[in-house]
Amino acid sequence: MKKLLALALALVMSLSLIACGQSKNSNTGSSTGSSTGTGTSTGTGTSTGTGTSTSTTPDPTPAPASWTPTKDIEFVIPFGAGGGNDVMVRKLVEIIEKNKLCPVNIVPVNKKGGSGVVGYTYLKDQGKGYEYALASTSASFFTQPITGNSPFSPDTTDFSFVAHIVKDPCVICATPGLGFKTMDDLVNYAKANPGKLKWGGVGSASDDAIIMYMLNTLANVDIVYVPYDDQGLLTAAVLGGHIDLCASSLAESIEHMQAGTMTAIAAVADNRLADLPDVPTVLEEGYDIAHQQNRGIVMNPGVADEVLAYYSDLFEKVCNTSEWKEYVKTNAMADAFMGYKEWTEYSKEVKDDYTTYLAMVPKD
Amino acid sequence: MNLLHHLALGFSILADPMVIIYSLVGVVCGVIIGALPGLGPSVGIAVLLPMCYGLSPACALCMLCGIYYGAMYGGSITAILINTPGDSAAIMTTLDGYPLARKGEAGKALGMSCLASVIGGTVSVVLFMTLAPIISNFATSFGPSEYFALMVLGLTSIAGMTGKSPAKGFLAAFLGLFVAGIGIDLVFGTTKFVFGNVNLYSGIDFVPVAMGLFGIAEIICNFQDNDIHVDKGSLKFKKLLPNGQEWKRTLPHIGRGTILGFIVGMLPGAGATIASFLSYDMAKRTSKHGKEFGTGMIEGVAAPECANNAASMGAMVPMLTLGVPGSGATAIMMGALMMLGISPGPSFFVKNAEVAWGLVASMYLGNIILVCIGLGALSLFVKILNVKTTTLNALIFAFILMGAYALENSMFTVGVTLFFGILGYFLKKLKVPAAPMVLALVLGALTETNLRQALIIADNNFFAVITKPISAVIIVIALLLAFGTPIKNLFARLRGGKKAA
Amino acid sequence: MKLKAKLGDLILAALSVIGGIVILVLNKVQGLALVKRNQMGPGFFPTVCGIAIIFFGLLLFVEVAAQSKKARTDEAVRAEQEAGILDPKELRNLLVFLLLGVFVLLCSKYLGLLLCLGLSVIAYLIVQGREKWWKALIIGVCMTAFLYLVFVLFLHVPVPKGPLGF
Repeated sequence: MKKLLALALALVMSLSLIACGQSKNSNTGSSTGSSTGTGTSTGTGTSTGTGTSTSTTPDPTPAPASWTPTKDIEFVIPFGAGGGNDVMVRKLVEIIEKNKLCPVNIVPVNKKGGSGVVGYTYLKDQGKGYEYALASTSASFFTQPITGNSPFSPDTTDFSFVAHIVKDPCVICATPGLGFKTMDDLVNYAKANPGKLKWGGVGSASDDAIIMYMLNTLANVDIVYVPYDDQGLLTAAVLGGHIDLCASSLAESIEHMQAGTMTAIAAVADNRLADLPDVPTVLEEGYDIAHQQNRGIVMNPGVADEVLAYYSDLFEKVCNTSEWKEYVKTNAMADAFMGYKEWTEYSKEVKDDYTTYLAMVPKD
Repeated sequence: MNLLHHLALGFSILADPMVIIYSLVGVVCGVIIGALPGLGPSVGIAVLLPMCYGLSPACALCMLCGIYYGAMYGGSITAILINTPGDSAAIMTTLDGYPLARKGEAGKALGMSCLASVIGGTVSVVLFMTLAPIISNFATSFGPSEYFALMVLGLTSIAGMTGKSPAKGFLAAFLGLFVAGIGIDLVFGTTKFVFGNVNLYSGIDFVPVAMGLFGIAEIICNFQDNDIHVDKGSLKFKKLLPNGQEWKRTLPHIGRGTILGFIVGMLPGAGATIASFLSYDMAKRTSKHGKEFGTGMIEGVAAPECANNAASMGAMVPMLTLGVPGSGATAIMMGALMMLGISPGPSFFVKNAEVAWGLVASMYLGNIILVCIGLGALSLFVKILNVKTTTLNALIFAFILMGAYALENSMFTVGVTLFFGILGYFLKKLKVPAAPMVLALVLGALTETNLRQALIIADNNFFAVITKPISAVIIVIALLLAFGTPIKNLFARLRGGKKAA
Repeated sequence: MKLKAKLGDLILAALSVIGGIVILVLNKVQGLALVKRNQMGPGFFPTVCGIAIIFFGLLLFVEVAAQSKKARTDEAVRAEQEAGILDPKELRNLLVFLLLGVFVLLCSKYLGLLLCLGLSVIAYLIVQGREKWWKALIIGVCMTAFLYLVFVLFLHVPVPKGPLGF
C-alpha cells in the first residue's frame, strides 16, 4: 500500500513537472499554430516575406526576396543567465512570441564562457551561411579580439551583421563622501592628487575602463583603475566608500543616485537621460566622451541577403512595439535600431573606436 | 508596535490561497532542482522565471522564495545519499552526512538536515525582519581588504581538514589554489595556463570539480553490495527525528551556525558556501566530538545546513535594502523583482512596504512547507539507497554527467567532472583529502582577486591592507584559530614542565 | 598487482615535487610576470602555489621517513605502511567508468547526449552489474526517459541531439 502511495506521489510530481514545462512550450507552440491560421504561408514565397499579420505597425520596407524560416531558430546568448544581455534577448523573444511575429520558435540558449568567445565558437560550429542561429553582442564582441583573447574578428570575415538594437549609456558616479558635484570638482581633485582617486569597473578592458582612460587622456589626470568581476560587489564598494568612482548603468544604480547614496556626476550619453534630468552629460561638461555600449545581433558569415533582411525586419518590428519601448525606457537604454546594412557599416566605426580606446589602456 | 503591524500586513497577503499554492510549487521545484547534481537555486529561479510573467507580484515572490529555500535543502539530499553535493553550499554536508548514510542512518541525517535548515531559515527571517533596515550599512563596510581577511579566515579552516597527514592536506589545498588561478587574469587580461583552450578562459568552476571528486570517485570505489542497508525499522517517522540527546548536542551549534551564516550571507559575494565552511569549522572546534567529525557526526550535518539557509536569508539583506545582490541566486531574484516592476534599493521598505513584508511572510510560509515536504518525503528518498549498488552506480553516473552538462550547456564541463572523478579516485586511494582542494578552489579565486584589488586601492601598501580595523580583527581571529591550539599546547607543556621541575 | 601504501606515498611525494617544478616552468614559458607595473603580476599566485607544492612534496618525504622509523617498533603503523592500496576489482570498475565516460564525451555530438548516457547505463549494468540484457535495457530506457523529462522538458536544457531526435 505504501509503495503504491509513493508511486502515485512520484507520478503526480512528474506530471506536474511536464505540465510546467509544457506550459512554456505551448506559448511558443501557439505562435506556429496561429500564424498558419491567419492565412500566411511558411516557406512558399510570399511577397511580404515575414509571414505574420498580427503586429500593430505596418511593415514599412518591403524585403528584397522572400525568405521565411521553416525550422526553429537558436538565439545564442554568449553570457550567463540573468545578465544584461540575457535579459534583453529574452525580452526580444518574449515580444516576438506574444505578438506572433515569427512562424517558428526562437529558442534562447546560454553559452557563456571566455567573455563571449565560447558562445561565438558555438555559433561558428553551425557552419558558414547557417540561417537558423543568431547571437547577441555587447562590448566584449569588439574588445576581446582587440586584446588578443578571441580568435574571431568583429567584422564581416567572421560574422554577418543583422541588427543593432540599443545603446546602453552609463553615468559617472562618485561615492558621496568625497563631496563631488560636477565633473570639474572631480577633475580638479584628480589634478591635485594624482594616483589617489580609484575608479572601479567590471573587467580590465571593458567600457568602464575605457571611459576612465579617455578621461585620463582628455583631462590629463591620473585616476587609478581597480578591476572587479562582479557588478554587485563593485556597487557595494562604492556605497561603502572603498572605491571612489565608477561608471554605472542606470538599471544598476538609479535608486542610489536618486537617494543620494551615490552621487551622479555626469551621464556618458548623447543627450541627458530622461530619468536624471538634472544630471548634465559629459559632453556638456566639456569632455568629448559619449561612448556607450552597443547591443546588437550577428550571425555566421556568408548568410544570404534575404535572410538578413528577414531578421532585420523582424527585429525592427519588435523595436517598434510599445512593450519594447516600455522596456527600453525602464532600463534607461537608448533606442537606436539599425537594420542590417546600417549595422554592418556602423560596426566598422565601432571597431575603429574600440581600437583607438583600447590603445589608451596601458599594456606592458 | 510597528513591527507587528508590518507583519500583519505581510501575512494578509498570504490569505490568498493561490499564493500558498505557488509557494508550494516553488518549494517542490526548488527541492528537485537543488537535488540535481550541480544545479542550484540560481538555475531554479532562472528556469521558473517565465512562469511568473502573468502572476501577481505576491504569487511570483512566494514562488521564487520557495524555490530558493527548496533548492538549499535539495542540495543536501544527494549530498547525504550519494556523496554528490547538489550545489556548492552542500559540500560540507557530504563530510558527515554521507558517512551517516553509509552507517544506515540516512534518515536521521536527512531529518536533521531538513530541521536544521528550517530552524536556520526561520530564525534568520526573524533577524532579517528586525534588523534589515538597520544593518544594511554592515554589508557595505566590507571592501576588498576586509574580504581578503575573511578569505584568510576561511582558508585557516583547511588546516582542520587535513586529517592525519598535514602534508597531503596542504598538497590538496595548494593544488586547488593553483586550479583556481587558471583563466584570464582579472587585472591584466592575459591568459594564465589556458594554452589556447577557449573553454578555460573563464577558469574551472568548482562545481564540476566537486561533483567529480566526491560523486564519481565514490561510485568508482563502491561496487560491493554490502554496506548501505536501510531496514524498515529505521524509517519509522519517530526514528527520523533526532532524539532528545541529539538535540542537546546540536542545538548550540545550530544557534551559532545560524547567526554566523546570516552575518556572512549579508556580505555580497561571500554567500552560503563560505558560511557553511565556517560554520562546519566552528562546530568542529567547539564540539566535544570534534575529532570524530568526518565519520558521521550529526552536528557536522546540522551546522552547515542551518548556516547555508541562514546565509540565503542574509543575502536578501543587501539585495533588498541596497539593490546589491548578495549571491548569484539573489542576483537572478533581483532581476525577477525588477521584471515585476519592483526595484530593490534604499527606499524599498518604504515605497513597497506591502511587497516587502509580504516577502518576509512568504519566507515563513516557505519554511513551513519545507518542513512538511522534507520530512514527509524522507522515507521516499531513503528508499533510494536500497537499490542494488551496481545499478545505483550506473544511474548516478548518468545523473552526474547530465547535471555537469546542464551547468553550462557544454560537454567541456562533463569532461572536467570525469577528469576530477578519476583524479579523485587516486586521491582517495592515496588518502589525500578532497575537501581542502575544493575549499581552496572556491576561496582561492576570491582571495587572489580581493588581495590584488586591496593592494591597488592601498597603493601596494600591504601593511595598510591588514591594519584596517575590520580586516585586522578578522586576521587576528584567523591567526588565533590557526595557531591557537599549538600555542595552547606549547604553554601547557611549559607549565607541565615547570610543575615537574 | 600490489601497491604498498608506503610506495604510493613516495610516488605521490615525487609527483608533487615534479608537478611543482612543472608549474614554475610553465609559468616562465607563458611569460607570466611576478610583478607587473608595480602591482602583483599574473604569475604571483601560480608561483606561490608551485613553490608550496614542491615544499609539501618534500615534507611528505619527511613524513614517510618518520613513519617508517616508527614502523620499526610499532606493529600497527607497519601494517598501515605495508597495506596494499590498489584493488584489482576497483581498478576494473575504474576502467569501465573511464571508457564509458570517454564514449559519452566523444559520441554525444553524433548520437545525442541522452542516448549515450542511456547506452552507458545499459553497458555498465551488463558488464559490471551482470544483469540480464532485458533488465539492463529496461533500466536504461527508464533512466533516459527520466533524464529527458527532468532536464529537457522541465529545464529546457539544450542537449546535443542525435539521430533519434533526442
